[in-house]
Amino acid sequence: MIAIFPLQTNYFSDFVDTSFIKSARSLIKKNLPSILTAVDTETKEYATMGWRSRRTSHACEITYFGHQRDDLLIEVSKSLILCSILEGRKRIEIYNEFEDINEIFEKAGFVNEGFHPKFTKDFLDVTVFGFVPSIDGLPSLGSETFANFVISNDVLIYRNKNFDLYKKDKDWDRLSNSKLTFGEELNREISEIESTANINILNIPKWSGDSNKSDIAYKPEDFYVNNK
Amino acid sequence: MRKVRLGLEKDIDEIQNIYNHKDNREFLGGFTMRDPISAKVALGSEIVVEEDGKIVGADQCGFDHSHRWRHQLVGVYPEFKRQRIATSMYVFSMLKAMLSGRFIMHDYIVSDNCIMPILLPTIGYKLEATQRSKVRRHKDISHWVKEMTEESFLESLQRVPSNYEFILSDNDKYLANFKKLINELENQDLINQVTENRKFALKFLDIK
Repeated sequence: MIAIFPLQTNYFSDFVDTSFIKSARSLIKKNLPSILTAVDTETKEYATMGWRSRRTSHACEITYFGHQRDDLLIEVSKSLILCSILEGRKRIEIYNEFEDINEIFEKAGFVNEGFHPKFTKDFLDVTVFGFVPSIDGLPSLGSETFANFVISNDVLIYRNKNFDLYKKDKDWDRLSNSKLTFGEELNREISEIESTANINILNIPKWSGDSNKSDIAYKPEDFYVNNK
Repeated sequence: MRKVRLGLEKDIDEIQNIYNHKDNREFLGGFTMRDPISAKVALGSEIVVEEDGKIVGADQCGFDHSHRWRHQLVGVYPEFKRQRIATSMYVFSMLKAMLSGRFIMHDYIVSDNCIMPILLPTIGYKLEATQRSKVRRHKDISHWVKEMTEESFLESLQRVPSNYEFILSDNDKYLANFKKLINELENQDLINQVTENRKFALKFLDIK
């Protein structure tokens, strides 16, 4: 079984590649879930990704924190999409500078949207991957995967704020292929995620990535069984 | 003769009028406030084209990395369009990019803009990525990039008609910094270590 769960400070360094520890540490203490990991409960192999930027409320950028197996990375990147939809976001993107994992993101459903030439300070090309749920549909997790997503007060603040923003847009009334308005489409996606059999939603109002501040500080073992 | 120069304090109202013209504002993400324009003018990053004392086009620039130059708002009065005013502003900003040692020119264009996808390829920009639904109102954003070399700059320069005059004023921060850098490198006998782009800027300015 593959368990997916948000990391907290008390154990996060076990699931992050050593070269990314510093950048992960700067993200982990947020009150929104900021790093997710997928762990094979038998072999204890992992793949970890997190949100690098939530600067625009309607879109977010996710980033890579190391992986030991490709299928785990696919599952965790799909989970980040689902988790972003729960926050009311409509676009998830990756700026990837590691060529060897480009194929994995395409397998996870991300669309290769082009590249930025010589983007980094070392003049590396960066490939842009994007996922837009209203166009690409909802990703489905594998049958052996069990995901735990947190909905805290902060997640709901973002969700409500985004719905307010979308309401102001004239495109709020735009009908999708399934004859739903954009807002109805997003609501349908959220309720579909919440009712999916292998996704467990943890409603913890004061959840924090900092385990000292969080209402509940989990251990990785808590997620190794199906909690739903 | 049209003058391409940096925007000054007295030009801010007219620059704002250009950005907020009913034919331009839809392409520039809505109404533009006065404050961001005056901030850019103070930084020396607002380029304007002047004809007989009237500002007819404005280009706001910036940078996002130490090697990347970025355009932000580019607008021309509708009655002055199709006269290569935007082209001249882009070429002027290439010169400024070179002075600051930057060599990747980058522009974001919202998908419903029908003018820029025609203009940008003529001055060497290539469409490198299109981010779907990137804007809040579900529009795509396309990224146009030009890698600047001596040849590609001269090619773009040829697109500028002969009745345009580029004016790099002495109080231009970029030019002042460039001169300071060159002086210091000369004093230390390190002038050969200056980057290719700056070498070209040096040569080009000597020609002028």
